[in-house]
Amino acid sequence: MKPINYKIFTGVLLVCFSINISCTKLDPVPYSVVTSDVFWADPVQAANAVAPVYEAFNGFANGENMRLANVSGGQLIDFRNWTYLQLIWQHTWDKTEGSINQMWNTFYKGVTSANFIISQLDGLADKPSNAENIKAQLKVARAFFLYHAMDNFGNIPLDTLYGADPASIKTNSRLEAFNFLERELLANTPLLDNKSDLNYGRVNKQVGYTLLAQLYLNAQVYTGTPRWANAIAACDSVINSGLYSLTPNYFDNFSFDNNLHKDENIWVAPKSKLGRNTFPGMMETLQGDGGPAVGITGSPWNGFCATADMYNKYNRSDKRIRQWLVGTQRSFNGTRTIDDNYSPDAVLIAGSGSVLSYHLNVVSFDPALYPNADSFDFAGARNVKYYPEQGGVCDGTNQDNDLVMMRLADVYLMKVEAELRLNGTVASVNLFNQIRERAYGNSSANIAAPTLNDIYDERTRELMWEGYSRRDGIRFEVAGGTPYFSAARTPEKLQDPADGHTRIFPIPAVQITANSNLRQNPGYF
Amino acid sequence: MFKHLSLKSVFFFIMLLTGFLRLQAQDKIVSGKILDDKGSPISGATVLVKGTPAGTKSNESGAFSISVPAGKKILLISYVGFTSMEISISDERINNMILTSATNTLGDVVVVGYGSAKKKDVTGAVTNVSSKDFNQGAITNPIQQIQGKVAGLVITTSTGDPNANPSIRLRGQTSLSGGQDPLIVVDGVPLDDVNQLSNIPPGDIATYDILKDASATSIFGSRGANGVILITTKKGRAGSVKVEYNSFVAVDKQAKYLDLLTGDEWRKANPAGVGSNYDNGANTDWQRAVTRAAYTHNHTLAISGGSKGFNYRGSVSYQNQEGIIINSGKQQVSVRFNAQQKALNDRLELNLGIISTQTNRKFVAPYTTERINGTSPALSVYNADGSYNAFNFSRGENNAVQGVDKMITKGTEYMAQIFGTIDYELFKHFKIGAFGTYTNFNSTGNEFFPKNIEGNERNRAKKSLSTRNNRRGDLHFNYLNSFGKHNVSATGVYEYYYYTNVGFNVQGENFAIPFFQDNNLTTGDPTYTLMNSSKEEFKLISFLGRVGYNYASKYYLTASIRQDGSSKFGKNNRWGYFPSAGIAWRISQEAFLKRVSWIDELKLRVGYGQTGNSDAITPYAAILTYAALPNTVFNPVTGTFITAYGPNQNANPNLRWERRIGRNIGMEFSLFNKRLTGDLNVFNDITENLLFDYTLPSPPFFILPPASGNPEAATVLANVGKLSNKGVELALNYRIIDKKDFSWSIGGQISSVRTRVETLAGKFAGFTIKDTIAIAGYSTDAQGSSTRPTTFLRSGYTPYVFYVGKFQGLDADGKQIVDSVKQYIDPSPRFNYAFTNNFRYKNWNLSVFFRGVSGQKAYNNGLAYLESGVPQRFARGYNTTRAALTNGITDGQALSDRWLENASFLRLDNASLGYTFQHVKGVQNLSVFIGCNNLFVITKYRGLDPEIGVAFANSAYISRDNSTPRTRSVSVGVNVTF
Repeated sequence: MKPINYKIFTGVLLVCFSINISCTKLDPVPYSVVTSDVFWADPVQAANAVAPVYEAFNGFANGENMRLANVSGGQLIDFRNWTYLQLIWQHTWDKTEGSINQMWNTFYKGVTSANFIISQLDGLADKPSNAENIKAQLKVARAFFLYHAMDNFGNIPLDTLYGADPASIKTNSRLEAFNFLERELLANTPLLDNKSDLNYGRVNKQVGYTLLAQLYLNAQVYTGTPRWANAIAACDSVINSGLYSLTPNYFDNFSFDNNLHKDENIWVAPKSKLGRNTFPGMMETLQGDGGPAVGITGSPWNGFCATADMYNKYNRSDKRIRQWLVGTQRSFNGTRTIDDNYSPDAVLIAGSGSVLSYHLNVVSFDPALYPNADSFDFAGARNVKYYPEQGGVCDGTNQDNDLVMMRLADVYLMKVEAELRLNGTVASVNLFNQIRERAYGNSSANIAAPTLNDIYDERTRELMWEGYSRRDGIRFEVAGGTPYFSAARTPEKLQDPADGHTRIFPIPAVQITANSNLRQNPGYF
Repeated sequence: MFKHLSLKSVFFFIMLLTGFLRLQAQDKIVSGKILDDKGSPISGATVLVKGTPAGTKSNESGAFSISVPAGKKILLISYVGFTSMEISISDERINNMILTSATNTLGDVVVVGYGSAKKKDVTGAVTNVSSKDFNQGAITNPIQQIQGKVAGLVITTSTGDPNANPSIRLRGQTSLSGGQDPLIVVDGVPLDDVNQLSNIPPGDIATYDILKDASATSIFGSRGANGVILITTKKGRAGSVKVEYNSFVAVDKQAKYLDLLTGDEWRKANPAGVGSNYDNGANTDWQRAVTRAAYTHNHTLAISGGSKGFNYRGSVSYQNQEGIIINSGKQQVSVRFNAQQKALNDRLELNLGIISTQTNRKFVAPYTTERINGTSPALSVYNADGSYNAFNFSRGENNAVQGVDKMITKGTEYMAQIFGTIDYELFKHFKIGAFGTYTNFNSTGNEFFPKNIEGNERNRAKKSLSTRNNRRGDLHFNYLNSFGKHNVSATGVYEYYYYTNVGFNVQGENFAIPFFQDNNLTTGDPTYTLMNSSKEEFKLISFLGRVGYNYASKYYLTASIRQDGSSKFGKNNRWGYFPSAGIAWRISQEAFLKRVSWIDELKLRVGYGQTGNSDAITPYAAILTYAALPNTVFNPVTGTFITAYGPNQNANPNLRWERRIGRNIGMEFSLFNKRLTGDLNVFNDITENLLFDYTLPSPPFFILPPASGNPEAATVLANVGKLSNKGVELALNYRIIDKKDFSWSIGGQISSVRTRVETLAGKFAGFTIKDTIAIAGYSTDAQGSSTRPTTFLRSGYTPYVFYVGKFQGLDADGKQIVDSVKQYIDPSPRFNYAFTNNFRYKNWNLSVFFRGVSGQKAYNNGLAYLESGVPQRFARGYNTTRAALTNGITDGQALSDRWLENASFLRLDNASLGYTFQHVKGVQNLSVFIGCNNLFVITKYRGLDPEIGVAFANSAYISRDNSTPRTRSVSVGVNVTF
């Protein structure tokens, strides 16, 4: 027996030994996720590798930042779907407000993605031939996110290095951020390509200059020192490129096929009804039974609307008023456009049995202060500027409209404003009136010498729901003293505290918890 | 014939075991009687004189007589299904000998993981529950058999859905990032997923051994932190062929209904709604319209037997369980076979098992339960012509009955497992062996939603497949020897575990021919076709060793160490060590207590161990990976939308298991001739290196894509915080009356565990993560709450502590006034308890089992929704409760402690009455029972049931009443053995 036993024993020992060698390797082997060594192998992968930055733009174009800008600036209000926006409307947010943190994350998602891709690019042994151009593109994209972080939060961490020591990330002052952005844009914008079909939806040279113009136009807010002349020069870099012109029809800029109308939009976030980052603009605004009024099949969420103050800024002859739905809503058969909203099809009936009719008496957030539940549900004008594709193909959550991030009309209005503020007169009044003539279809509404208030109102009407209202309100308030941003508003908004702390948002509490080097903004505790 | 053969083999078997085959001269005649533990005579029991081949059998009345050679003083008595016993003989006439049935005595041997030990020799906190103590009645998931039976083991079934899995928690919440299920090991094979437990037929299980403290679970290393439940299935025994048939039929009904308005009451309270779109004159009780009396029947047929050196057991089970919601249910067929073979003079032992289970599941149509409570009772289910009343209002209100009838969501699971062990006694006292198992768990999902059911314009179909395989193998040795009063044991194991998970699914829309459902997905509109596939794997490699020593069965020491290495861990921490030590002192064996006649057993145990939890770590969590976001980014060069590959996690090369350090002091006792037994444990456990998705500052870290409902944020799965569990558990059993014809015993257990988040601060990659303010928990549906959490994880508090204002009444307009100063309110239970009364009168037995939780609070989000803002609800056509008509609340859902209700309860969980027929010809055992589950609940909680799934991550202490309501069931069953 014994020799057999020893043979078995030796055999077992050998098995154990061989197992120890071969079966103790523990490196993870991924399959449906990838690690960085599989990247940048060819141009297609390089294009994919840059894509996360643009994915971040997708998030930006329809993110909390847009909602906070439009609502805090007073253009839009929502007290039914996203009730946190009541605080934003009232300027009574605090540092724990989740949407403000989400806005922070949207910005820094872009920043950290850009940092990462730049570091990947720098580390490549065989760089793509257009590496420097890609890098400049990434740096301007990063500047875009940092600009909006600085604009909203004031004092922000400027991080430009992937893998930076977290302890080195500190709050930089708004002035430091301004100076950094100015340097970065001046250095990198000239390296970018001019507008072409090959960079639709991507950062090109004119995107860089438009961003620079926005930085200069608001410089007084950011640094205390106006830079009107620099703003005019940056606008001129865009205008004088000759690559852009106003589209004859205002609404073509926002249509579901606005990718075919590339004359005016300087930069868009392309959206696809088949893509992941879809745009539910109609769902966010219309009443639940109001979908058929714009030809969507879904049941909307009854959220955003505008007050009478906002709606009444539009003259009845101004074609742009058609972006609003007010009054009795009707369904229709077949295809139509935003220009024939008032066709006499069947009246829409809400779930309650009442005729669906939007009204302008936005009196309160409180349902009890409306005559009845329908009145609460139907309050406020609804914006359908991003009119959806017709023919029953759009359920509302998947709109095909590319979201406009920068537009020539804004550049015109910036230039006009900077001229007026710098010189007291508007030299390029034709730019201002080009916008008016397009809106009215003729020159009847032209203004020979627009005032600051004219420019403010024109910006409101022209750039409605495009994310400018908070920034414009603050700029006009800082430059001219009229409380466009901080004044009391109907409904339920009181005058902001005199210290002006609401002009920037608080650094989100979770961010300060995560990084105690960050300093809270003045006025927030 | 069979019987003859098997008895002979038993005879041989015992002779071989004793190993003495010499013949001795006979001397005197000894006679006696053999009875079972109920006093019935056992015929055919084998009586041997130890050390001789001499033997006989007991007759019909259990009597025997045998010649005992001179100098021999011990009789060996054995019978199939009973524990063999040795009797010292002094007289020629010995008293009645009671054989205890084998299932009873399985309790004396406990499985401890990679081996077994006698109960008296165990140094850790281990509880054994064998089939005689299982809950009876309508048991469809095996774990229900021991619900409430084990102190510290809290099993929560918060829904009546046959396809929902109970939550199983041992000694409280031990982790924050999921992964709190105990490790379940069935016949030595760990389940990949605790929910696979539902694929095991309850009737096949012989015992559960619950390893509670870290000194016992440490042998399972990085998977042992949540405790371990070892399940042993029934095996065949040498002897005659035994045929068992167990069956029950049960009927379930919803246990409680919300007190909603009828259509007439709704019209009376809401005159404006009369004749509106929300009223067609009907009186519909939607709660009852979508539910039904649901029938379950369950059958298990098992054949077992064996001969010399070979045992087998095979079983077939069938279970058909209807859900109370129409068109839901579960159907399961299971085949199991196991066999043991001994050879080479019993030095070689082979074990083999094969299991195959198919489970067909029909799930509740999506959003059914969310919908029914709010829908207008004034709307009919059907139109006058018998078609569905296909109303579809904004916010997704539609006909729930039409939904459950027309929407198909089902799935099939196939589980196949094969396992085998080979053990060989290399030297005396020293065995080596190998174990191997392969498990294939395959599930398919099928969905088909016709159009216009939920306002959807297009029909939609989806088919999904997932295959989870694991291969596990080990090489092991066991050493067991005694040197005088020194008893020594040692075990060593090398183990290899490899897991893969492959998934695939396709979804399509707009099918011209709905007939195909999900069986011809290419016929859909390609515009809407979505595909997905994935694969992941990980390895776990372990070395472990355990030594045991005891002196004279009085002083015990057990020590173990395990080394685990996993491909899931970060590269700087790929291997971990998990040591443990336990000591025990059987005080009752000391001379000074041996004379105390009323103490049978008194044992003191102290244990210390370290275990790990790595469930929260997905296979690639430690490394920087990119995930694809298909069709997100427009590529102007190609004019198409391309896939963005973005980082989907922040790398953590230091990622490792959570370390749970457990300390346990326990005392077991058995008094008054085993009439009073008990087990008391006190424990103090700390979970260190607590895994959590800690918020990192961005910059510099990545903002990650939104995950599971949470907005995008910069987080990393890291080992930072600390959590503590302190608790006491007491189990007591008392046989109050124990007479031949009547017995009454009570048993109960109570446990209290206090869980605290000690800290969520610490270091990650040289960076200090602070927790000066609470990390967000979960939200209620109150207005303004969606971006503001209600429950928190905060240092110094129980996990998911509420932070809400006090309700201060209503103002003149009926608006809820809530104190703006918020308070922390601890919702966690003070203690869990259960108690059983067992009565036996002659052949009747009655068992009454109560289970309760004390001190628990739950946020009644379901009623907060139904009972707030009634005027607005009416205007939108919603229903409400009768109580809400007078509660005066005019505003919408407001967050306050008004809705944080006392969810303590006492439930009569199970009552069953059984009758055992005696002496039925040709039948070994025949018993029948009638049982009732969830007979009543005493609680102040106003929702459907106070036992909400507190441990489910998305609903911690927040109840939405949005799963299938709990049921009350009545069952009748029969157990026969031939």
